[in-house]
Amino acid sequence: MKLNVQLVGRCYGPFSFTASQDSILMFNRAVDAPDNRAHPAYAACFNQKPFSVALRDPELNLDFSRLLHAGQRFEFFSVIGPGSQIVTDGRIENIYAKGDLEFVVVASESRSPDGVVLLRGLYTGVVK
Amino acid sequence: MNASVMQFVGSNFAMKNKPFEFRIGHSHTVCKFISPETPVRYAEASGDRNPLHLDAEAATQRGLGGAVLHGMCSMAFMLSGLMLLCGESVFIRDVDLRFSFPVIPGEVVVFKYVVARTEPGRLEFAVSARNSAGREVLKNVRVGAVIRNSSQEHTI
Repeated sequence: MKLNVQLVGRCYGPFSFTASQDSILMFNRAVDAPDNRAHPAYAACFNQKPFSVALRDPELNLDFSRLLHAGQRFEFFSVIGPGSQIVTDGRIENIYAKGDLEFVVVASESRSPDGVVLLRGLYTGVVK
Repeated sequence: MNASVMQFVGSNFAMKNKPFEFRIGHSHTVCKFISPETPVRYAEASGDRNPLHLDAEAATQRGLGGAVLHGMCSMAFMLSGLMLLCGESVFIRDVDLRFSFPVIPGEVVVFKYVVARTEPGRLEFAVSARNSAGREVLKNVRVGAVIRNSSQEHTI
């Protein structure tokens, strides 16, 4: 096992983000959204941040060049709109091996500044 | 893709022109052409500039045979197709999936949406996603949605 399992439980964040009309429309155009509402996957612009930072944590011992995104889960509780202020925190939930593959799982939660949970993400990366 | 039964809708989406019925077992298929510029557009929009998606040489060195689409972009297209089918009457509540095979820009991905479960005000879809060669690119896809109701959502 090359990944450092001691990092299970390590937290990343908070990361702040403000949704803008321009970034929502830009994202919607990229994913061919059918309307101008913020696409659910717009969450990637802010909720993914702890996952990205955790993977680059030097103590994780992860060879980024061998990493692939293996799985994704989202729960949406509220609609994001232009001007939405979002705070995101994340935590390494699990690190494990299955055969020759190693997995790292990061849970991420995005909230409004007053603490209302907007969405949760669970990111699984695999090192091949 | 059978052109006689598919109509292009929006940008590079094709679907049969029939309503999606929210009853268990009902299915609908949407085809999505992944244009070559998609990874660059998605990288600019999302901030995910992993060379694997933008640099063919870097991706080839990893045995991928060229730059591949972001997995999250595949997921987003899957959701866009469902939103096209359902219109503004539903709110995507949750999604769960595995990225099982890379999507290569220039190919067509066929998404098949099946109504797997219905409850009052709530729907669950099972989705398959296959590339031009018939290989599954997303696996174990489940999407939960709620029927839009002003009491069930709020915008911050």
